[in-house]
Amino acid sequence: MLLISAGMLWFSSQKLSHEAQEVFDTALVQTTLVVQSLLPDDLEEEEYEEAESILFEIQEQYSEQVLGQEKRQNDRNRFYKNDIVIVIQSESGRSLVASHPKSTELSHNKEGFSEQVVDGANWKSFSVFDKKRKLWISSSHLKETRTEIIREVAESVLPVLSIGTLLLCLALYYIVRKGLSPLQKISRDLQSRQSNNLSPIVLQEFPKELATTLASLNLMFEKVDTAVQREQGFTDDAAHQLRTPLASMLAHLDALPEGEVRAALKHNIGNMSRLVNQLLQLARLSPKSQQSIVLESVNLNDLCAVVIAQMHPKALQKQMTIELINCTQSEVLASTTLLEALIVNLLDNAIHYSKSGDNLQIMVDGSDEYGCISVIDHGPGISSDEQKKVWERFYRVNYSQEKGSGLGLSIVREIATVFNGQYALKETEFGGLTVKILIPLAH
Amino acid sequence: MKILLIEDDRSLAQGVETSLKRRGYQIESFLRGDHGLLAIRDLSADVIILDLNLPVLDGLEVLRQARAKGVTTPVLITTARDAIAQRIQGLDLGADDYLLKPFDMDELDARIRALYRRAHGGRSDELKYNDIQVLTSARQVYLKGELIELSRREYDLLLLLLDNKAQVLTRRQLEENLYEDEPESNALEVHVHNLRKKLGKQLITTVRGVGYFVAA
Repeated sequence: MLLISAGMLWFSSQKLSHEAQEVFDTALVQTTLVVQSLLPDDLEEEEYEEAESILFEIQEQYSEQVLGQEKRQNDRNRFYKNDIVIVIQSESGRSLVASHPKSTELSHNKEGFSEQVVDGANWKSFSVFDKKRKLWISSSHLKETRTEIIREVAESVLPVLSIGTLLLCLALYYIVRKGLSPLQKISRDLQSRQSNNLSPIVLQEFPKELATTLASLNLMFEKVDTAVQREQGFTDDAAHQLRTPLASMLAHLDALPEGEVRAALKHNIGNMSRLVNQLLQLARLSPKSQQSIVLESVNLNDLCAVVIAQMHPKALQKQMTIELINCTQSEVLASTTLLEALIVNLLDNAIHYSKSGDNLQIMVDGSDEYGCISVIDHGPGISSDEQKKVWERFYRVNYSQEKGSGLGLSIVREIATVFNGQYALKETEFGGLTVKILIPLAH
Repeated sequence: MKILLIEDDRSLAQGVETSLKRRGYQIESFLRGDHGLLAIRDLSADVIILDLNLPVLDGLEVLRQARAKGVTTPVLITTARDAIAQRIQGLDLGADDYLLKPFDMDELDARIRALYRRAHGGRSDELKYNDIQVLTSARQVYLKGELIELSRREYDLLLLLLDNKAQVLTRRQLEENLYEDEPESNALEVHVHNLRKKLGKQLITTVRGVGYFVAA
């Protein structure tokens, strides 16, 4: 925009100088023609003095009109640099009548515009040859004066024009910016909000043109939000509703005599309770719920110890041994409840898929940025084809004898994602599966 | 022992009733909160099992009003919702324990006993585990009838582990219970080592990197 303004200014200054040149040229032409028209048919020698005073008056008038020349104090011989001087010369070039002594030095032998240098000064003249009277009539004007005047005009106009243009640019910039600011606010709002934030966009003031767009946008947010909430509410309610009948089944089961039937039923009810808990955990990881998750500094080593202690009876049922290997002490940025759920699911999964009597290792180490928990089992492992799929919901490893819900690792993945963490699978040395979770340190 | 069960799910109430009766408890059950509150006043139960989601009068409200009337009977809350806020509110209103549905009857039995024991002057004087006998009032430990000399910390550690049989206690849990200040890094290992030397290697099992436990 500034470039365009500069261009405009340059163009107008060029135009200005061109127009000014034309004004001066016209003045020369007019003066000459007026003098010609005023000449008597026969100009006698004794009338020269009278003619000179007439010429002087014309010169006076034009200089004043066109060039803003100050009124002179009846000093005909004094030359002002703004003067248009008029001279009438004979065919041979002898000056007969001159409005000013200076003009006698100029010679004219060519009709139309001409330029000549006299005493180092540049003159521009317009000459006419009166055929009837055999006389040269010409008006001349100092060229330097012209450029000076043009410069003066330019100097007085251009700064005003420049400042004006600059102010106009600023005003335009401000107005456009102000006009676009609601859009900018909306885009900033959308950019900064998390993917799970479905609250409407609130703007204090916005132009009428934006009202419908904003309303539609907010309506869409509201609809998506309702749908998400309904889905989450359903999972939450369904899971809770299932807990009471499960409790009832467990209570009635107690009346059955010890034996295979009772054990099988108890096992199934146990699996179902596990599924219900996992569904609830997933519901709690829904976008809406994630808004209320607060991350804090959590000691990974201590939490692993607590979870292992809590899960130990389950491992003991399969005659498994668990050990915790603390390579580093890691304080990670997480939520205790969710991190606990993550570790519970990791261990639950590992215990579930391990053989009786297996050994399970949990290792805590880390780097400068991450705390790392690895759960190393020596079970059947997972083929590399399946390694990607196990993170998906309800995916079950094909050949596994044990039936799982297929939710465990997807919960682990979702929780790790909430913590901005990473997750990976690899094969344990000498067979088995190692699940690795990286969580940013709390620093 | 007399149990008062306030639970709105008829089938669950029936199951719990049958199971607890078989285990030798006397039990009365009510389906509505307001009826339950009247029963708390009229029947002198030893332990109250209270569901939180009740018709007419909500479980938390029953608890609040009962405590306001000066009822000190231990209350065990059961609920299908695992919202922590609700749990804390329940404990704040004077509940003594909290059990999430579905629960195992053995677990419920154990919790009832623990509550009863707490309400009636704590543990019994004598504690037996295999061939180890502990007389808590005298702080004396016998192995196969022979008195064993234990330090104060060793005795406390043994009691902690025996009170939480089959449960792994983490090093941090043990240290927080045994010491007021941060102990020296291997102090706990030394006590465990001494206990094993005095009472038998098999008594305490180590879970490497985690803690210790005494098998059930």
